[in-house]
Amino acid sequence: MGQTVAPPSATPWLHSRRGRVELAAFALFCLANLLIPLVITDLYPFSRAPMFADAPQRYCEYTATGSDGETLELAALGLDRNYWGNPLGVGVGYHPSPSADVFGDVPSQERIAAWVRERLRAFPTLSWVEVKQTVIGPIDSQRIGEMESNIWRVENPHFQGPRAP
Amino acid sequence: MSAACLERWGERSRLHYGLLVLLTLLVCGGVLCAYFVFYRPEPGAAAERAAGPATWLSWLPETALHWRPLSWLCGGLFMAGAVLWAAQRALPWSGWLTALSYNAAVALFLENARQATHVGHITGMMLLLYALWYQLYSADIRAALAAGRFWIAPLYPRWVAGAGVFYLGLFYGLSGVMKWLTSGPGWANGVSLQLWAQLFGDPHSWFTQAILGDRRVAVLLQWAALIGETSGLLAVISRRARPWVGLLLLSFHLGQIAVFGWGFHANMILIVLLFFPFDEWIPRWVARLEKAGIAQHETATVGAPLHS
Repeated sequence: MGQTVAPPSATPWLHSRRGRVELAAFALFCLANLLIPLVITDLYPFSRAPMFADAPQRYCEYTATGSDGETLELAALGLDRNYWGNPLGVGVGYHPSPSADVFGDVPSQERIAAWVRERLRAFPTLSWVEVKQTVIGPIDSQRIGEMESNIWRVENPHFQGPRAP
Repeated sequence: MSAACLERWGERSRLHYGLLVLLTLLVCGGVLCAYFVFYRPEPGAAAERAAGPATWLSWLPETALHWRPLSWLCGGLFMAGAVLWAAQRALPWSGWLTALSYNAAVALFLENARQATHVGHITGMMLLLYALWYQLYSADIRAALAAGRFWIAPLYPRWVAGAGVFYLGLFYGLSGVMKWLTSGPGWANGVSLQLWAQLFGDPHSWFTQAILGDRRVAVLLQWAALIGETSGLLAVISRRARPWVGLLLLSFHLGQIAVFGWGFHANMILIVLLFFPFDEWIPRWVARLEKAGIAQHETATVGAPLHS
């Protein structure tokens, strides 16, 4: 620090009451910022700064269409993406609803079909839904793009007949 | 750590550098506080409530956490506290009012959010550190103000500057260490950055297109980010390395802003003020200005006509 001036007192800072209080404040500030993040990832204003610590190598994009030809809300089928680079539900008050779209994972047809079938209870007028899964990842040594695309039809076990006109 | 080394933390300098950091914190804090107050998300459903505390306000009842006027109140208190603190009034309470209301505004934002953000953490913690400084020095500062010695009294302790550097270095260092621990060196293989750029990046940005077009660019940028962040720990202990780490972190943030537009501008300003030797430069500039002022005054006095 430039042009520093020694404390005016003849007593060394460290041996003065004031010096000890300041040193304790300094130590407490540093220790709290060092130790609390070791115990809990994010407890604002303390943080382990976990953003983008994951290294996803691919992700999926979904679309869903009902047997009536309408595009369905992905959240209603639990296929919405909840990814912002931070661990979910950490350092925030809310954990998003569960989704089969876990960023970085490529779930199988069986998993998606079982997941969606469970949620089709809310759509008794649809006899089936068609789910399109597009996998985005490395397509060569330089670029990323569409690696594969799958379309799966999931029959609705809760179908109660078409919507009345 | 030897007693002589510890004794150095008690050294003090004049207030210019400390006040520059403080005013920067107040301005950056004002902008960030406005964001956290006005862009606070709506709370989710009760079933979505995250397990475990998220902020220092998690102990408050749900109704208080969800009550939007509480955020407005925090914003208003921050503004009042910041004006008083900048004017060196109501010390040390104006400092605590500012620091606590800012941190409450950020905490209320996070308590209602699903998506975490870390743009306000450094400003929040630095405001708390500076409030702590004013707590311990308010009597001296008030006395210096009363005696007209505010600008010449040595009232900025070295430990405040040191704690600021420690916290800033630790924040970035931990972020780097988390990447090593979670993903290992494979974190920087370029693919993940390309995916993030594809998903969150500004498609019109030249940087986004460069990252998406050539994995080598992505690898280079990711390694620079990983080394820069992890080097935050080096910056804590090495004064010589600090500006270089600062340069790496500034480049990292500039890249982030160019590609993703994330609001880490306040962090960048604090990196400049804390990792570059402004604590040495500013007293030198002030001394030079004072010397020039005295010389000018003397010239004017000598050159003035004598009145009999």
